[in-house]
Amino acid sequence: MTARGEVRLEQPSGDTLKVVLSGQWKLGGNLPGADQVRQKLQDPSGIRNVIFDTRQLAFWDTGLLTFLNNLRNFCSRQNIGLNTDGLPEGARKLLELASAVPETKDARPVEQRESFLVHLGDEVINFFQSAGEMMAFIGDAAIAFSRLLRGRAQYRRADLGLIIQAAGAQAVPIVSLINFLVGLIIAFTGAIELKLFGAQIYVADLVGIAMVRLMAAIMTGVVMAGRTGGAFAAQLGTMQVNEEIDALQTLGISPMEFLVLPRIVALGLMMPPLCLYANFMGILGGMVVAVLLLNIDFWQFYHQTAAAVGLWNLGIGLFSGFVFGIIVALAGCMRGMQCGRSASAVGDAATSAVVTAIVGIIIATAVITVLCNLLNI
Amino acid sequence: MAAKEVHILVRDLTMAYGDFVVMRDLTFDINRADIFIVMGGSGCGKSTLMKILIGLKPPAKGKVLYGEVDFWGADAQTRDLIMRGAGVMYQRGALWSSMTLAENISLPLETYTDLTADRIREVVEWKLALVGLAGFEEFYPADLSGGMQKRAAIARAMALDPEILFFDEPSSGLDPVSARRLDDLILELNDSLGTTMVVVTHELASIFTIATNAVFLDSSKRTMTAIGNPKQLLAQTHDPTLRQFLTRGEKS
Repeated sequence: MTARGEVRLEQPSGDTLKVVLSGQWKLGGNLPGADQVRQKLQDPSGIRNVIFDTRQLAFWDTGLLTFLNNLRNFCSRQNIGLNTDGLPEGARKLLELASAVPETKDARPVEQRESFLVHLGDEVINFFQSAGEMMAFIGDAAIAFSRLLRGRAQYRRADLGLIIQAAGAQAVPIVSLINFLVGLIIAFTGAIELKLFGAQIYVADLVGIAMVRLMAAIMTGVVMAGRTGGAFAAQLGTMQVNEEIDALQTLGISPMEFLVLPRIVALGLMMPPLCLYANFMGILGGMVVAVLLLNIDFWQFYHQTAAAVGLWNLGIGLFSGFVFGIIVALAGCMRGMQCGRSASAVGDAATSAVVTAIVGIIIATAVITVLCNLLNI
Repeated sequence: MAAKEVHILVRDLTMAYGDFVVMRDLTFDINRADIFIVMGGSGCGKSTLMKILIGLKPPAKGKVLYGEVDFWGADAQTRDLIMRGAGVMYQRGALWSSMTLAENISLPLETYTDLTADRIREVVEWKLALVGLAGFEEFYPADLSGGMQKRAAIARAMALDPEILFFDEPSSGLDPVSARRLDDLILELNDSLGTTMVVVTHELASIFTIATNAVFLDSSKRTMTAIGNPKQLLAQTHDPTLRQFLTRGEKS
């Protein structure tokens, strides 16, 4: 027999309604709602009082209480008296407890649907505000860096060493894999077209210039953004949540010098070597396609690559890598320091750091490309 | 009898987050060697008040004076200098999680003193012994219980022998015995070193044990409604909110 609660209504006198409750009032069981009682109490019913009869009630829990609460709220709005004497003692006391603190009228936030224009305006204001904050952060970082150059920055050498290891040495495997594959893909894609013209030897030029000037730096930058930018944001964000950054501030230690500066320096130092290494891996990938697929002789490939990739390309590539490293570090640290004070805020900070870093890298690439064009490099 | 020397003066202080005013018109004096309690219900702005006193958040209106220096009227460097004579114990310890206890306490020493590494080590061991954590120098904060983290945080706050110590809810999350030990530690430090102590808390047992003076922040009126020794306030006040707070909600 499934749990089933029943309600029956009697009217012993003109202005009194007796609600007879029986059966098993178990939450999740078959329960009547308060509707039929409410209907009976609707104006003009002339009913001024509600009493209860629960002698046939076998079992009750929250299922009964929500019914009663519903009814009680309705009755108080209609100015109908509710007599709880007929209820089981436990239920009566719980109802009293729930009504002990009157409902706070304006505690529930009012959901306002903003018009599109208001929303757009808000977004524009926010955009300029965050652009301003970004400028301020970069400015602070520059000041801290100048203190570093004068030898007066407060940070721990051990921290710098650890970050260099984590950001540099430990990134080598993934940087190898990604750039090797990218070199492979570029060679593969170009080979098909070039073969039509019998010009497959120029695969070496294609891979060499593309990787060294542009792709190695971008790919490595994106990998570092995801890997290290996110890590920086999460580390600093968690410190923010734990008030560890406040503790540094009240001790008069600048969080910019102690936390952010080592990270920027570490990435600035590590990106050029990583990019150089990435260049090799990319060219290696191209070479695999050339030798195995296009039957180009290894030495021929080597000479062609060496002739095509000049020092200018290499210089631009390494410079780009350096700039991307700084961007990743700035984005990661900034989002970490701006982090809110909850766990989900740390996640948001990490996400935002990666997105900001990648956008920054692409914008920087565009700027560098235009500059090189103007300078005829 | 020497006149009580004032350490911190607060005048007409108003705290706000944007347009939302948390507390207004706060005026009180904290004397040297006082154990001054900032008490009030949850969410009344006690921690915000402490943030203003230690330089983490500017007030919307009003003044904070350290001795004769206008704290928020001065530049950031002056504030830093003043805060160097102060130690702060944060609610959850705020120990730097990537450093051992020894490194946590050494950092302020390395930054602001010329002591050699050996001397610093001696000071670190002394401070940890003072809070009952001798032997835990190489532990990381995550390896310690909540009570131990708080005591380590006090050791760090005391690293530079500050003249004033701020405590943000020191006994929150502690079992009764640890809370009592913490109270005893606060009393002991105040007695032997004469350090001024500002404690933000709503733990009645602690308030009555350690306080020499207190200010009550009423969250419904959004201002301070009482100032004085909590025991005297309990005996003399007619304010129902304060009475309810000090008697733990006893129906009078």
